[in-house]
Amino acid sequence: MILRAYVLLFVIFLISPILAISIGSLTETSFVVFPPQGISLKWYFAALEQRALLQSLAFSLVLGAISATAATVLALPLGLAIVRFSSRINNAVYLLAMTPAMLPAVFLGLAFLIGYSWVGFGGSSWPLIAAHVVMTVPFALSLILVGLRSVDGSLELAARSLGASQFRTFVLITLPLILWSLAAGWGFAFLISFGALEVSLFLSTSTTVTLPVQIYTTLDWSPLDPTLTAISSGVVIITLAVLVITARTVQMDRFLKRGRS
Amino acid sequence: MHKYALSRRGWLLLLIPPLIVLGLLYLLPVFNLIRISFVEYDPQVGIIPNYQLGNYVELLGDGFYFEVLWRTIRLSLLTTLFCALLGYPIAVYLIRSTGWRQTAMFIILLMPLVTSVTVMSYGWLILLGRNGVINLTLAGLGILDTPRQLMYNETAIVVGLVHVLVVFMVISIAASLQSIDQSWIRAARGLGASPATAFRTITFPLSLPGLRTGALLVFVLSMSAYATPTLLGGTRHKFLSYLVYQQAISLYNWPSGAAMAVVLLISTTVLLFISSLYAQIGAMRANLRTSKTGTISGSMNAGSET
Repeated sequence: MILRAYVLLFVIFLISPILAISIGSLTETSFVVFPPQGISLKWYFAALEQRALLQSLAFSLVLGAISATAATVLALPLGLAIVRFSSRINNAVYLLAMTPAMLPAVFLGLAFLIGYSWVGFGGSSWPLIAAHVVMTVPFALSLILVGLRSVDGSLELAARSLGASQFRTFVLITLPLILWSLAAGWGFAFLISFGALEVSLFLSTSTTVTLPVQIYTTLDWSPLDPTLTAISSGVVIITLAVLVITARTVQMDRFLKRGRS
Repeated sequence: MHKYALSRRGWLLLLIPPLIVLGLLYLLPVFNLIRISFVEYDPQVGIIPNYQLGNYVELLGDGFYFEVLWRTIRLSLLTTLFCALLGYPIAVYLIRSTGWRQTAMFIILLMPLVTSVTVMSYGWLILLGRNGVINLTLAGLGILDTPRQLMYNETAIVVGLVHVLVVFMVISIAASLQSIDQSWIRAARGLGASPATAFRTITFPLSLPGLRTGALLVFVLSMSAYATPTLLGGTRHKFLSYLVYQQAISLYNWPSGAAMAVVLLISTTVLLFISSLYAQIGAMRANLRTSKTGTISGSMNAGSET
């Protein structure tokens, strides 16, 4: 009973800033207040007229999709190599792929900035894509590993003994069995890229601005601008949608069983 | 489960392409950053390829830098402590709940994690500001006559950090709670232990590895936090990450920024090393105790430390 009450308080704590943004964005005043004064969608329409905000939103969506796809493509062979062959080198490989999630974000951001500027940015978005791929590989990989470890090898052995090639076995047996973990890995990689601020802050140029960078820089000089709340609650909606879809494809408690790795 | 294995050649073929990509895009820049932290910098000339320890020596002599480093460490430790205290009961609830309740709890826990930190900090800005709910409520209850600034202080930073990081603690603890064999607890209860005693002597010691993993994650992530402290703490309560950004982007001093980034990484690693050393000493003590008394709780304790 006490636990239930505490859980309720905790949930309120977790969702209160999100509620503050989404409900506060309905205000009619020219600055954000909570609770809102009056109810209107006028700031949503105002946000739709801000080209810079919309452009950065589109840029972030595309960047997230490209990075998540590339990260999944890189993580799948890594996961297969780690699970399907026992070698000490695998530990080092695992560490290499997972450390981007552990290193301080500004350390990574500065390393990418200095490293990639060797080749030159030229106002293009390749440095951001490259950085986001490195950053999201750990999330894609850890989910793919959960998926691969849950596959019963006997199905694949049966396919092989019936004459299927290694490639055919992979496409017809393994891939369908781990598809959910690929989808979930992609979803998480997308969300990490979509929400990333620090690394993007180092790599953004005037033509390549992600939405978090745009919100952050605007927040710095006009903190209570209601168009920002409107666009932020748009972000929350996108995030929630991807999260719910991801959660539906994965039974969430599979995460808890990953203990032994 | 049968083992379906790759050939050595297949293994190499799978491994090499991603490794080349990660090597070029990730390892090379990281080593280059460490190299840059040793070169000389002159505001007029720029980077001079002359390797020395000047950038680090300069940091050691800078009082302001130490103040920021100390604040970063102190608030990260506080954040870790609060995450552990607040998150433990939630992990217990997560394990006990089933079906849609569990899924909903997962989604709510993951929300702060996957929502952009900027968006989250913005939410706190609205709640804690002078016209925010908390001020209005306190004024309404007659506790405050004038609205107080609740933002731009260290408390606000800790609140913001706990909010986004507590999920790591909850999931780590839940994972280790999940793996506890329930028959141990049933046995203890059957032998007359109260639920509280069973928790204290069996469940809690066995959940320590999860608590440790969670603490490690939360600490590392809050040491490197950038947006939350900057937006919620204001200009007077900077975190180390902000100094790195300022040096590298605003002052264009890459070598000094690189040295700071390396110090940030090293201080995090050293603190983690100390904590794992401490845990190992604790495990050794527990082992000694077990060999003396041989109680169940003693041996469980030792088992959980591995």
